[in-house]
Amino acid sequence: MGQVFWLTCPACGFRYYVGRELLEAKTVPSVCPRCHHEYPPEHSATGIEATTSG
Amino acid sequence: MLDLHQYLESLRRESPQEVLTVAEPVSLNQEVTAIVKALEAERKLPVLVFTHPVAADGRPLAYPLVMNLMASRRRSARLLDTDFSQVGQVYARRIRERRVEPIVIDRDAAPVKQVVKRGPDIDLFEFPAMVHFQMDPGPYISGGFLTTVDPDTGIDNTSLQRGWIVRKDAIRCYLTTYSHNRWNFNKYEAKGEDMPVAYWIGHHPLAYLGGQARLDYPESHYAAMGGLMGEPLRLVPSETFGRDLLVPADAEVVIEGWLRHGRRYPEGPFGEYTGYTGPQIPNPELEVTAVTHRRQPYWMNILVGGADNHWGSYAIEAVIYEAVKPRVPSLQAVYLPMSGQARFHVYLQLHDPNPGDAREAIMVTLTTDYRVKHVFVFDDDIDIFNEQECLFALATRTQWDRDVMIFPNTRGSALDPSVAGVLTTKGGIDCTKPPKTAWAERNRVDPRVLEQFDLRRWVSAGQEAAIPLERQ
Repeated sequence: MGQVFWLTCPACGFRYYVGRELLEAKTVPSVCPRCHHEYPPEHSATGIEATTSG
Repeated sequence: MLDLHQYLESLRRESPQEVLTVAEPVSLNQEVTAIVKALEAERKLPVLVFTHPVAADGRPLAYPLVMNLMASRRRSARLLDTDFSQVGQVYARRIRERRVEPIVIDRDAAPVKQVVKRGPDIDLFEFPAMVHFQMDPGPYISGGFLTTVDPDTGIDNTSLQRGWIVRKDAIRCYLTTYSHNRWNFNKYEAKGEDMPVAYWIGHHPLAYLGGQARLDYPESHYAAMGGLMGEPLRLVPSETFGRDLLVPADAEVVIEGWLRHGRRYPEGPFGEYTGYTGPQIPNPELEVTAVTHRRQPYWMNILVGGADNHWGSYAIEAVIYEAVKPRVPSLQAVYLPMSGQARFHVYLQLHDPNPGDAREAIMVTLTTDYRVKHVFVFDDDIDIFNEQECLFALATRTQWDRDVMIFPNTRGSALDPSVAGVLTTKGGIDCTKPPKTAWAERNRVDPRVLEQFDLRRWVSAGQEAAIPLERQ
């Protein structure tokens, strides 16, 4: 999976990660795995934090 | 005729200690995972039947959950009439030599049609699908085969495919890039059409093993399943697509519908076979049109990334054996150990290899599957099913300036957290002794001493049992 991108749900604060494909598909929101709130990734409460590529 | 009910009954009768029925309520939100992992840590892999599963939202569910059906290589060996070490080879031969064409039966005779639900009666949340790990977004189908049809030829394809149940009639499916189901879906999408699909869940273990066979494209898995089962797989027309999409009549549950083209939805994260959580990615959604099942179906699930997922490696072992053996006849055995998640590492065992055999075997093996990453080749005095032996050979028979082969920028698994994108670096290590030359002797006790040896003369069974186990 190489690089992943950590998001923080703006509704419940749960931290999880998404793949590059999701960020590049501009029409696809992210969904929080914990509370299922849907939002654009750029609305992540802590911004988008990229891990180092593998 | 073979099915999951019949198999569990026979296993309970013939080897009751291998079926553990858990009657206490257990949460599907990771509690089942914790139980499976705790037993696995003790190297205990019974088939687990949870009769009172409780959904993550607290609802008691009516149908039992089966775990670990395929977790034991020893049980799989028994089903294939072979021993632990020969599973891959026997599987390869059976898939190659024996195909039995399926038969189509009337729906009235199909156990999977005992209950038929359509439209508003569909509720996928009545099944005990699990939330496996802490980052998973909800209940997942992980032990379900997804069957699709190549629109050009009408030939079916079957593959294990994860699916997140997002609504009572909708599933988000991950079709991996190199899967034949994905190729079929690409064809439908290119034409602007939705793809007919059917998940089928729960069947005899030999049906599951056949469904995992590595076949050409397009080539039906149903005949391979019948070949392993030794009888024709019984099929029945699906409710939605009729004879255009046939489904196993003796499955426990079938979920039919359209995989919608064009749109993508967030799917995942999901605890994957790599042992890591794969990220949330865009994937298509399956709109469910019908669910059929037995009156009291077993819901079968697989704990991905653990022993329950190991059986998927038999097909890879088979492909490797079939590819390497003609080129390197000294090949004796192939094993994909669980320490490499039963995908990334391959151990090969050679008998009296000729110069160059080990390197040739490494190169061929690395091309057989995109997930195969590291290949280690051993002599046949090394038990490749014992990793302590393998590491002994690695430590004492290799010089890495001479014995290591590295191939950068090759095709890899997108779920491997160490790769950048999908390109990986593959490699192999020749852990064999120099061929046809004298070599140091391993420490051994004289066989004449061992002939007379009996530990019980000095240490009683009770004393031995009381000694604490050490970590090695």
